[in-house]
Amino acid sequence: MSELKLNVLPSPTWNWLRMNDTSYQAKNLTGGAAPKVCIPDKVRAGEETFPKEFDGGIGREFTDFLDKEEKARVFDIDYDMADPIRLRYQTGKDQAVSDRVMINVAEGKKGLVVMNFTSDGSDGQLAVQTAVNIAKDAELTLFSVMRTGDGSVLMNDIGTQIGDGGRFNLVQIVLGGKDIFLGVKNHLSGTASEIDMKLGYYMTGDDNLDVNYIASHTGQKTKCNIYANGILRDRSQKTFRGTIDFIKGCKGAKGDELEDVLLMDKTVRNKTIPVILCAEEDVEGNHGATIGKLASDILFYLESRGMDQSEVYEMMARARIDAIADQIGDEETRKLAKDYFQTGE
Amino acid sequence: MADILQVKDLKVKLAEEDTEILHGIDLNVGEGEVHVLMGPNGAGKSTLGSSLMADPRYVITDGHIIFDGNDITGQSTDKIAKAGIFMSFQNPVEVPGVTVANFIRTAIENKTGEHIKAWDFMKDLKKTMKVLDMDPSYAERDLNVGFSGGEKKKAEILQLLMLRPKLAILDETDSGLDVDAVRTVSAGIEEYKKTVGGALLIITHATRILESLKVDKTHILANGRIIKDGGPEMVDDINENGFEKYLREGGIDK
Amino acid sequence: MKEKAVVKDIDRSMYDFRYSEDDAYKVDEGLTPDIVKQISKEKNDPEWMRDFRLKSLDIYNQIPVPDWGPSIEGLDMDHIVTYVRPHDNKMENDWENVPTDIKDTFEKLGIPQAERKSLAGVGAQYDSELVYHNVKDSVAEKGVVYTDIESALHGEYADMIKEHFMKLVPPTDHKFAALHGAVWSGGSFVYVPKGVHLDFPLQSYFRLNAKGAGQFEHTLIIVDDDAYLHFIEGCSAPKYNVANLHAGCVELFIGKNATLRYSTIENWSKNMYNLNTKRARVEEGGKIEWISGSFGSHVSYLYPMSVLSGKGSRSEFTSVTFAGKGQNLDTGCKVVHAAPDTSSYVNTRSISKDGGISTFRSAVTIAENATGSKSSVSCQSLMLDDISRSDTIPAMDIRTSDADVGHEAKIGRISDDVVFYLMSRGMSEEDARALIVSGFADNVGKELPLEYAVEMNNLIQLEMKGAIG
Repeated sequence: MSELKLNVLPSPTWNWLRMNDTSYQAKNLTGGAAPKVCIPDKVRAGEETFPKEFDGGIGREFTDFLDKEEKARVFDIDYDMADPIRLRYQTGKDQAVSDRVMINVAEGKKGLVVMNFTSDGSDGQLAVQTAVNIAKDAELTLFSVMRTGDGSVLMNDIGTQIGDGGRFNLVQIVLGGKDIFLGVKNHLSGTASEIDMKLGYYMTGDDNLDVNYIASHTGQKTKCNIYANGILRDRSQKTFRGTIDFIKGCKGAKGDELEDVLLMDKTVRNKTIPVILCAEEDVEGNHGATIGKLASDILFYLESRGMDQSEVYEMMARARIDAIADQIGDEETRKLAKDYFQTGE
Repeated sequence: MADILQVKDLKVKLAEEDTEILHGIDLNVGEGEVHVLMGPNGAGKSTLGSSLMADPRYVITDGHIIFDGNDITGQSTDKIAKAGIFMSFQNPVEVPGVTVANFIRTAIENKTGEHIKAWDFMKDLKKTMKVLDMDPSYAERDLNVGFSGGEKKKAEILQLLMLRPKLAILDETDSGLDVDAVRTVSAGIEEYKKTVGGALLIITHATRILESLKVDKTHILANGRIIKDGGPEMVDDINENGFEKYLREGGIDK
Repeated sequence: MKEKAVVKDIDRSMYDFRYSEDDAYKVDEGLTPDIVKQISKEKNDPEWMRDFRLKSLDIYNQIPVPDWGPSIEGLDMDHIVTYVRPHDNKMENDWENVPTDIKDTFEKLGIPQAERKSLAGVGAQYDSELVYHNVKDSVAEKGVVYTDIESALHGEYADMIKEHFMKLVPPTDHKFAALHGAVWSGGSFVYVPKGVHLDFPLQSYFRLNAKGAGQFEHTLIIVDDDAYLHFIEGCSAPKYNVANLHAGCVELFIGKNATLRYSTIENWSKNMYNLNTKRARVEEGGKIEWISGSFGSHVSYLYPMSVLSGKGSRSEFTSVTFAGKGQNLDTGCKVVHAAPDTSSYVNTRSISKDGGISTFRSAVTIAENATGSKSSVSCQSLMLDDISRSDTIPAMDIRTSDADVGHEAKIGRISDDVVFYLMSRGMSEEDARALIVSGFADNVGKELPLEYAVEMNNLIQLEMKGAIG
């Protein structure tokens, strides 16, 4: 076992809140993960050394933890993709595996990647780190659905470098999981580079979701949009850290962050820390959060249409996940998310 | 004809404070009948409608509500709705995140306990929306979010037609609507009478919505009491002469 | 119209004058058990207090400095003078008997004038000791107690002090709470009996005159059931080129259905480390209203905390922080919802200018049992140039689903369009920007009594226009 500090908040606050990072006893790695990979012909796939300067959302200790695995699978994208690169990961019994991925999108091109995570129902541990490099005027869209069940541990880390006019779209959907760590750090260094991150989650039982999203604005006129919408049931827990960091010189930058959390049971626990750091005058930053149960007037209205409270909550939960899932342009992945709620369609 | 709804000596107070709003209401509605509940502002008309639906803002302190032969007093809102009462809200709330289509389908499935095929449902929904002169795009919009007053009322009638209740309570469904919208809503109510054949309790202080409906009985509610029961002719009388006469007869100073 | 009293036109020299401290009694620099014992002896402490001080010192030595927040490296505890008693110290209740230089100080600050016009009582602390304390007869007749805490320790309220002193902010809370426990001196004790409603505010003014010294006053206020009090606190000090330290402690106990409004306009000099701890405990149906303007100090750590321990208790926190050149002001608040149906409302504004750093930091906790609770936090920040910094770090920990929590934060700058519009009406750019900043800080301005709103506005004008005096 190795104790790791995961999802480190860029600007620490009171230690008693226990939000500055999450200490986690990770099982020592037993080997490399073997995802099912499906690559369109025109993508160049290979193997390279993972970049030393990688700076992701989960943090330094996690990166060091994975450093034994130096090799990374590389995908070079040099055309506008219609069919995605698919990576299907599954956690396995008694396994503590890792994988490193590099995705490079060439100037002016549009890449599409789907990374899906499921579980064989056991107590596996899976750690994946993805380095994204988006060249000038290029765009990468990454869809991800995580359904690793209530036994497995998933650490899913992303670090991006985005050039002038580049754009990164990320949709992540988490449908349960014993311990899920999501970290994404975006380096918006190119002028007018943009990111759009959407997170949907539905946690039940004793699930635990721990998130660290960071947008680091160094380039001028950079934009970020962070949206998280989720549901907590039973005794599930969630920590959401979202940081917009306006670094001196990022003139004309804009950042928006919005979080909606629907709390369904009295035993849930929600921690939220939305941070805006600002060392530049010419910026605009906004953050909003609404956390709580369903408003009583909405509940009454829906009950008056013949649904009991749990049916109302079920519908609201599905609607929230659907709204994020509808952002997924990949039929197969969207279905993976939506099927979670459907019965016999 | 058997009564679908019997309200017996119903007393209702506010949940938050000890103010009694309804001081013993008796009201019977027969199966398939159309009843009109009129009265001045603040009389307690909407409170009566809301209390029948077990609105948590009110507490029933005494009396009984018998619906379709069963005592539903104190039952939860969803059970009352499932039993077959539908109330059209005066001010329907906005429900972000849930589309009109998704919502109505879920509501029907919960009510019947049966799965409906998406395609069949959408066909039925679009057909019904046409009766109400609603743009089909509303099916995919979030329920009531950003709807105008008229659109919200149409969405209420759309639910009424899709959920097919045995009794529909329409709370000021005509208020704040222009002439065209009133006509469309009226058409929707006629459609309900025609295709479902359920009873109606129409709460209103105006009479425009009643023009094309065959009213069976009229009740006047004032100061939390029903002060007069009558036939359809009372609607015309109130329309021409107002409530004053009835209020005087009922011993109420205006 | 109410007459504008106190400080109408201020300039920097208003606060920067200082008097000789030659004949004042001081303890040695630094912090040792001997120094703490010496303070205790000087102050004629009861035995439990002496033990409490020594225990606090132990705790102080064990707790590390915070590993978050602004740097306090410039604060050399080995050279801070923890106790300075002004010469001829004797607590007076008539300004005429206060030593001339001290009286002049407070007259320049407008305190005696304000007392005559609009206050129910005044306390004035100079360095480590209170030099003046007075309550209007009509207020005293209602049973209201307003005295220095040392007198209270020996008088009929001794048990009440012992029962409450550092119970809400224990010395174990953080390093500077422990320091306070060891070397505290001065401050006020207020008791408002059941059902008494004070129409006029009580005020305390803290003045730190001595160079390289610390001020560690303790304020203990008990507002009994159904009572109402508005308490105002003002602070200032002349500027020296060595660090001064303020580590006061404010403990507020608010009874059932009682309300306490606690207003502060803080204008410490810019060599001050302001490591102040303020906390309120609110019983059923009670309310704490914090109004806070932070303008001074070199470094501030200031997060008034509300512990909502009674059903239906409420907290309102309204603040403005202005960080100018050389300032790192880390301010905000903490709220713990520990009972059902509690509510909190937070509305803050931060302004950063000339390289100043302002941080809004908050923590809202809704405990498992605090069902039906509501919290609303709104913070806005204004950046006035690109050499300054403004951070917003709000944390929320919600442990029940039966809660309604809303949060919004905004950061931005003054719109060029608005400046242009005002200039087109004949205002200079400087005036236009000052006007906009005053408006931005209005959340606090409109909650203060007129005199203080005027003083605050003057401080803003001063910061916006550079040194006039």
